Amino acid sequence: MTNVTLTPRRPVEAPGEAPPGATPDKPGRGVSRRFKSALGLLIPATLVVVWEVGALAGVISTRSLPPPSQIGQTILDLARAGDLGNHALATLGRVWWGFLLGVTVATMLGAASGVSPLFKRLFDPTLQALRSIPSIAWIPLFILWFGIFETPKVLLIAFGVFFPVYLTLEGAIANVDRKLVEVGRIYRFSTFALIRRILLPASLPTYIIGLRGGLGLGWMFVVAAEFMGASNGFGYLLIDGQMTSRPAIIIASIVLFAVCGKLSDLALATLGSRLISWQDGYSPGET
Amino acid sequence: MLTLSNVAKTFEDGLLALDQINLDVSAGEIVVVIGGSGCGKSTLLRVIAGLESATHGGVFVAGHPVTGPGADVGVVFQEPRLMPWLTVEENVRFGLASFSSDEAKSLANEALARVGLSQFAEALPRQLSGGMAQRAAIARALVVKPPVLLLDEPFSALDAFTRLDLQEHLLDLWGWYRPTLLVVTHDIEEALTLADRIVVMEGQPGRIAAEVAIDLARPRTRGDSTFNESRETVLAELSDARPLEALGTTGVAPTR
Repeated sequence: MTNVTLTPRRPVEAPGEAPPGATPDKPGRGVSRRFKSALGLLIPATLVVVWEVGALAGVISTRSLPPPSQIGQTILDLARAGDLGNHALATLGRVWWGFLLGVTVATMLGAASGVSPLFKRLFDPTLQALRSIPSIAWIPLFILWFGIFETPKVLLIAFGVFFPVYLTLEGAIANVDRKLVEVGRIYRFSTFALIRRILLPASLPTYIIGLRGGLGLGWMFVVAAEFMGASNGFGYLLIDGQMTSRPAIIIASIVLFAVCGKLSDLALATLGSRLISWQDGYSPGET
Repeated sequence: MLTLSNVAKTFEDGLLALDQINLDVSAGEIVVVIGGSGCGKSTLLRVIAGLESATHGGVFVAGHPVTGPGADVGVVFQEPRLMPWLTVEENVRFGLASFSSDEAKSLANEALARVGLSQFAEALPRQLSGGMAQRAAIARALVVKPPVLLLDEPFSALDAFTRLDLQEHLLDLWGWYRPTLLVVTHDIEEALTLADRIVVMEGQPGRIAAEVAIDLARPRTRGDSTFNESRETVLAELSDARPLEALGTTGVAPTR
C-alpha cells in the first residue's frame, strides 16, 4: 500500500520543489513592474472606452467630437498618405533645434549668472522682464524680422525653452554646497573648471528638471510658431482642420502633440535619471 | 617648513579672530592645535591653507609666502567633501588635472592602497561608511604627497571606535613620507595620541596660550603614567587659557 502511494507522489513533488530554488522570484517581480508602469495607461484607456461607447450610444455628438476610432482612422490615413511622417518630422525638427538653441544659450547665461554676481546684477533684471512677455506677442515682430520660414519658428521655441532652463540652472548653482566649491578652490580651479567639474555636475538633478520644463514649453511654443504660417507640422494640421471644418483632424493633431510630448519627456527623464543615478535621494515605496 | 609670523585676522564685520600668532613647525613634525570652540583654531587652519588671507603678518610654507591655496599644502576637512557623482577613485584623482591620465590613475591607486580602500575604488561616496569616506578624503589630499597636510577636526564626526582607528591610521600614513602635519581638534586624547607638540589656543581674539611638547614614543598607550602627566599639563594650560568671555559681547564667532 505504502509503496503504491509513494511512487506516484515523487514525480509530482519534484517539479513542485524546483521553482523556488531554481528561479527566485524574478519573473514575478518583472510582471509586477510591468503592471506598475502600465498603471499610467489606465486613465487614458478608460477615457477612450467611455468616449467610444458614449459616441456609439449617441450621448456624444460625433459631428463636433468624433469618437476615438474615427480619430485613429484619421491618423492611419495620414500615415498611409505619407503626410504623418512629413508633419511629424517638421514639428519634431523645430522643437529639437529650438530646444538645442534655447538650452545652449540658457546654460551659458545661467552658469554665468550663477557664478558672477556682477553678470547677474547686469542681465538678470532684463531677462526677467523679457520672461513676462507672452510668447504670442513676439510673433509679429519675428515675422517682420526673419520672415515666415524656419528661422523665426526655431527662435520662438528657443525663446520659450530658455527661461525655465536659465532659471533652474542659476538657482541650482546658487544652492551648490559651498563646501564642495571650496574643494575646487583648494585645487586652484579656474572659474571655467569650477563650473564644469563642480557646479554643473552638482546642479545636474535640478538642471534636468529645468530641461524637462524647457522641453514642455518648447512643445507649447511650437504650436504658436506653426500658427504663424506653416505649410507642415502638427500646428499646421490644427489650422487646416479648423479651416476645412474637420474636428477629427484637429483632435488627431492634439493627440499627436500629447504622444510626442510625452515620449520626448520620457526620453529626457530616462536619460536624466541615468545621469544622476549617483544621487542618494528619496524614492517613496520603491523597495 | 611652516612659519607663521605675527599673523592677525580680522573678519569683514570687524571681529578680530586671530591675533599675534607666531608658530614655527619643522619638517615632518606633527603639531596639534587645541582649544575651545570659537577660539579661532579653524580660522588659523584656513589662513594657512590660503582659503582666508591674513589681515596682518605672514604665513610661509618652505620659505614661500602663502597667497592662496597651493599644491604644497593638502587639506582634509571635518566632512569628507567627496563629489557624490564621482567614484572613490575619480574623487582621489580630482585635483590631478595636470597629470596624464595614466599617471593620475597610478597615483590614485597608490593613495587608495595606502588608506586601505583599493577594493572600493569603483564605489560611489554614498556607499561608504563615515570612516571610509574620510579615508578617501585623506587619500585625495595625500595623492600628490604635499609636504604639508592640514586636518581640520578630521575625525570629530566619527564614532569613538572609528576615530581611534583613524588616528592610528593617520600615524601610519605619516610614516609613509613624513609630511608636516597640522591637526586642529578639540579632543585632548586625540591631541595626545598624535602630537609632537600641542599648541593650546585661547579666544577671543584667538591667541596661542601655550605650547606643550609631547616627548612620548609612538605608539602611545593611553592611561600610561607619562601619557596621563601630559594630559594634566595640557588640561592645566587649557583651564589657564582666557575663557571665551568676549563671546557674549560679540555674538557667535564665525568659525570659517
